[in-house]
Amino acid sequence: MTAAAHLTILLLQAFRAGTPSRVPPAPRPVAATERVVLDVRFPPWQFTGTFTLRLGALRDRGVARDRGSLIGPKRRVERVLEGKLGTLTLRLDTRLRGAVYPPIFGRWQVVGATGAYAGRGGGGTFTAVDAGGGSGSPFERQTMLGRLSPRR
Amino acid sequence: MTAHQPSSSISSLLGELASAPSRAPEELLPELRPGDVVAGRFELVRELGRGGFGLVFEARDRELSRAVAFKAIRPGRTRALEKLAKPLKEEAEAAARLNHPNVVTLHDSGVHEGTPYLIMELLRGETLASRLRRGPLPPGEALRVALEVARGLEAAHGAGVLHRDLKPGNVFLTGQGAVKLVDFGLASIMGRAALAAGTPAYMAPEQLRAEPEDARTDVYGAAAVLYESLAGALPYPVSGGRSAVLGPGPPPPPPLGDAPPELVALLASGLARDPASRPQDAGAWLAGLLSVERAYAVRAAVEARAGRRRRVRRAVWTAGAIAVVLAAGIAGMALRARADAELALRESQLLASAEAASDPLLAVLLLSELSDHPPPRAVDVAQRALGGPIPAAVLDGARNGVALAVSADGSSTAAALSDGAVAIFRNDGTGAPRQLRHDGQRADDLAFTPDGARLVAAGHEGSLHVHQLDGGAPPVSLSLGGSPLVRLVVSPDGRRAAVATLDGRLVLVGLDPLRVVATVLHDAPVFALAFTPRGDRLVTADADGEVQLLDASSGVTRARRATGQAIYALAISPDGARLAVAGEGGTIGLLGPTLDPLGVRGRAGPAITALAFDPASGRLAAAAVDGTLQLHAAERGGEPRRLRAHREAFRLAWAPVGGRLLTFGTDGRALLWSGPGEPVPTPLEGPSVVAAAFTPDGRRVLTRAREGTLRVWPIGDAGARGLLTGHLGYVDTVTWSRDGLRLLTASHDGTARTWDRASGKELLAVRDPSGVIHSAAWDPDERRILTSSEDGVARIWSATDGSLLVALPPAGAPVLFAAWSPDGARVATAGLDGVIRLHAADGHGEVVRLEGHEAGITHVVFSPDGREVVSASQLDATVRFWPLDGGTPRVLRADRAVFRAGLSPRGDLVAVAEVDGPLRLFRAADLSELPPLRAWPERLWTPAWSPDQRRLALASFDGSVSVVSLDDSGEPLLLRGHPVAVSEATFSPDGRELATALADGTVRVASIEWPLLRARLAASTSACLTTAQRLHLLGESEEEARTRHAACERRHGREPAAPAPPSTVPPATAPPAQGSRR
Repeated sequence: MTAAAHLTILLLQAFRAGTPSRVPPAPRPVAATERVVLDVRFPPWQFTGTFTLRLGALRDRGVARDRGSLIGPKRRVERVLEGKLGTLTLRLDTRLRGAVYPPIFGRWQVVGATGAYAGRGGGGTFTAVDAGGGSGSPFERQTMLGRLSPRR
Repeated sequence: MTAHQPSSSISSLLGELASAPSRAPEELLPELRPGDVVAGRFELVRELGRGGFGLVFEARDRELSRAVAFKAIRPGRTRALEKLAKPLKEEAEAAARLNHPNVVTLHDSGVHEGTPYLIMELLRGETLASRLRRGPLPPGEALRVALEVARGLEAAHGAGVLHRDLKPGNVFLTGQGAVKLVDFGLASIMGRAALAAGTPAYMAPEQLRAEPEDARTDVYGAAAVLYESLAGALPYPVSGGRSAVLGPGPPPPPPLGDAPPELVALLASGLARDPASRPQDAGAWLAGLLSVERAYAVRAAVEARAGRRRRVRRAVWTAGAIAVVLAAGIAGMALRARADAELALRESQLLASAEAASDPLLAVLLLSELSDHPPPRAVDVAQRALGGPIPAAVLDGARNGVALAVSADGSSTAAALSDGAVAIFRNDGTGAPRQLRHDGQRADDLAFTPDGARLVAAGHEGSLHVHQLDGGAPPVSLSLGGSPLVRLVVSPDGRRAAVATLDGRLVLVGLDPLRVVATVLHDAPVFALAFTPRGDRLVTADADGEVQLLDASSGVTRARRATGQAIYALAISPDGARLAVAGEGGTIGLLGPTLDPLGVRGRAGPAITALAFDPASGRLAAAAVDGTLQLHAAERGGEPRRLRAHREAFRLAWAPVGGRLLTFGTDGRALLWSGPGEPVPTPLEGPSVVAAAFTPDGRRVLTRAREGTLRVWPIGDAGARGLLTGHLGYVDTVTWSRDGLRLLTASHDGTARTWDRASGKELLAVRDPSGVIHSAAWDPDERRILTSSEDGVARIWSATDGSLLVALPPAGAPVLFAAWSPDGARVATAGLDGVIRLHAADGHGEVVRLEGHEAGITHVVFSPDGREVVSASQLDATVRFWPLDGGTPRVLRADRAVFRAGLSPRGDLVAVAEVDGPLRLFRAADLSELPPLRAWPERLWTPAWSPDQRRLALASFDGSVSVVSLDDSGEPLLLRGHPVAVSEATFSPDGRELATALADGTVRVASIEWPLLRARLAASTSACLTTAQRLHLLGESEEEARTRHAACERRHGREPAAPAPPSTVPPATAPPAQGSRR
């Protein structure tokens, strides 16, 4: 069997591994994770901004600070979110830049958590766009979606 | 092992260089030899040269079937990546992206077995250094070269790129007369010292002192090149490896004794030791050169007037008695002479601007301004401008935005503007755009309802706006939360819209009335969504790799499928039976109507960001972020065709009627792909494109440019433009029908085809069993077609239905040419066995052999009276006349190979174009030679006579065609619009057009008469030169420019816009402030 054929079979298996079709919608196996939505705002071309967090019933807001650059050579950022309930430290990696709209897409994961977030892990995807004011900065508005595990 | 990568990542290439094993260059470079294939794509043809940087080969790009230059760089000569300062890396990247007619194009780059290489535009010609070894250039030519160099530099400086190594060796003069700067940015990559090879002759003082370089450094280099071009000597001599520019000596003397003061002053400033005293950038240097050009033009005009005055004075002196009578006439002549000179100057400037224009539309508009009797080269410039697509209309007023939608009836286009408004344009280019306004920010996506009655806009602020287009009703808006709405589709029945938000919601919206029907939460943003063709289902795919099938009425999820990769693109086949998804992993997953897996296409690799099914063939096109276009067959799996499309990521769309594919990339280019088998791209040249779409009938393409205009491109008119496509290989011969309405071609693809001249459509194809046809000819009645082929057989086919009528007895060797006798009763064939055979056209009877050629014969033709046969041999370099009454053949021996014998229509003359030699003319009766004709003395190939026997068209394998007059009057016409070798050029029966057969399988038909070309220029577009263009390019006064622009606009049904006040609003995409953290 050629490597290409082997790869095709593996990929087919990966596709088949999904929920069978023709099955009525069932609750997704979310285990105990919770959907999280983070709305992060930065002033044009700045690295310090604000965030809001929605995690289940939890709501938080505070200051967001970035180290690194989403479009630099490493395309990696360490983001610290200091909220009223605690601090989340996240690592963001850009996966796609400039190819589609929104102009920046990537993945994030939790690398540290304190306060109400202590013991939580998880990650998700993020997008970055401008705020629509014409500054040209594509980092002004970042939407982070994903799932976080409960506190251990 | 080969690493293949887009040229934009030159710094990545540098990284490879830095990490390459440190082997001696000699160990690496000899591994490359002609015949090698690099990256499975670039076949090395022959070595062109070697230098300090490495080796250069001519190569053939197998994917795009074009000749390219392959430059292998010695790794040992490059700087380590980490040693390159960041600005230099960025500059190298920018250099790779330079796209200008005066800068050689970098197509690609990669690393082959440790040897980095660049794939560049293949230039044929010589360097300026090589040319200057034969002596200085005439002032006019030196100035022309300097102007072209300055234009290339100006574009580079505008992109933040310095050349740093300007010298005659880096200025290339192509055979077509173009001037190209080469090795741009290589100095920054490889180090200036490495490239300068130890000669400081062209280095500015600050470079020699290793001080900071800037645009003025290039200005010095450009000035030194101009000085040497004029004087034949360096401005500052070099002695003992040290340039006098570093010493305290005097500035260089003027390069010419009669140089105009403007030239002397410009060179003095350009060569100033202190950069502050030089023109500060290439733009200033170019302006100085233009003033020198004007000075020369004025001088020429003055001299013309003086000459005329001298002649007039002589006349008056000798005919004093009638002076009074002539006085009025003299005054009139003087005035006319002045007007003539001024007109000639204006026309010359117009032509130069048109030639330099990188936008063919601008060239067309400038050429339309020429008078009835422009300089001869206007024909060439116009042919080239009209050779590619020209937008039929330019719609102005779409600044700062991206979203674009075409109405279902194709009559109008909507463009989102940055201030939240939407402009709607009429695609016929008439009228002013209609402005629609709603509260909120710009629309990130737009869609017309299928009935064209409404326009739906997805607002960046998170609201959906619906505009009624058939009245003045205000828009209706629906807030969907604060997250930007980034994807929008409208159902086929126009009753639903689906919107994806960045916070992971898919909102199904009813449009009658406007309301939320359902909201479906995703754990990641939805980047791809589409209604099924019947409109009963909606498919979404998110960045977590989940595909969902939703009921389009209720939003209820019917099926899900996890794919394991972030999905960026989704396509549904026209019959709804297949669904394709692709994204981060580079593979394409095929799913059935209920998301059941059908298979996987492609292999893991660069991410795929766009997918589309061809409505006609079912092929699936995919756009990879490395700029590669993948074409997957409709049914079977296996490897797709991979075509280099763009430098980076791109979007794509098939024409709604199928067959044609539109791609547009982040590189700003839009390409239209068409053709059987492997499609060939046609660039839609113009300003940088941010969005593009077909009209629903597939007959036009709309492109949106970053500069704020929309262009409407008629497509499928290549045939009407004179480009005949269909042959899959070299076209050897092209012949006109007697009425000029059809053409007959023969190709190495094994077919002979007939074409309709007006539409360019193929009428008939005959397929030769040998697979290669060398010539094709109609019989005198145009009822039969005679072909000669590789299998040694000449065949006669029905010109009506393409059926085979007669296969003549085989020759035993390839037959390279076959010709009919004037009465159509006999056929002469000639081939590689060196024998001419005369057959009866019915295939019966005795075959007469004419022997005497010492090698294979490449051409044969009957004399017009049918009493002789004339043959030519490329191999024995003779032209022979064979009397058919048994007389002694006459032999004309040439110095070099002769491919075809150019027997004149009356049969009394023969033109002999020696390959790589001169054009010579002989009397057929006694072979006495006539005075030589002016013609380009190199690279000639085949001569063809005009029907009136007054002109000759000479095809050349360097891609040019020249037309010379038999009386040697006027300037020969040089046509340079062919991208590859031309095997034959033939006049139309009325002598007003030329058909050319090309090595790339195309045939081109173009007028060589200015009135016809001018009419085509005028009919090609409704666009107008802007007031600013008239002001700056035509030299009109402001009032004149405004008036003429307004007149043009009104002529095309548009009311000219009122003059705009100077803008004080900063551009929306302002770069980051200096020193900012991003």
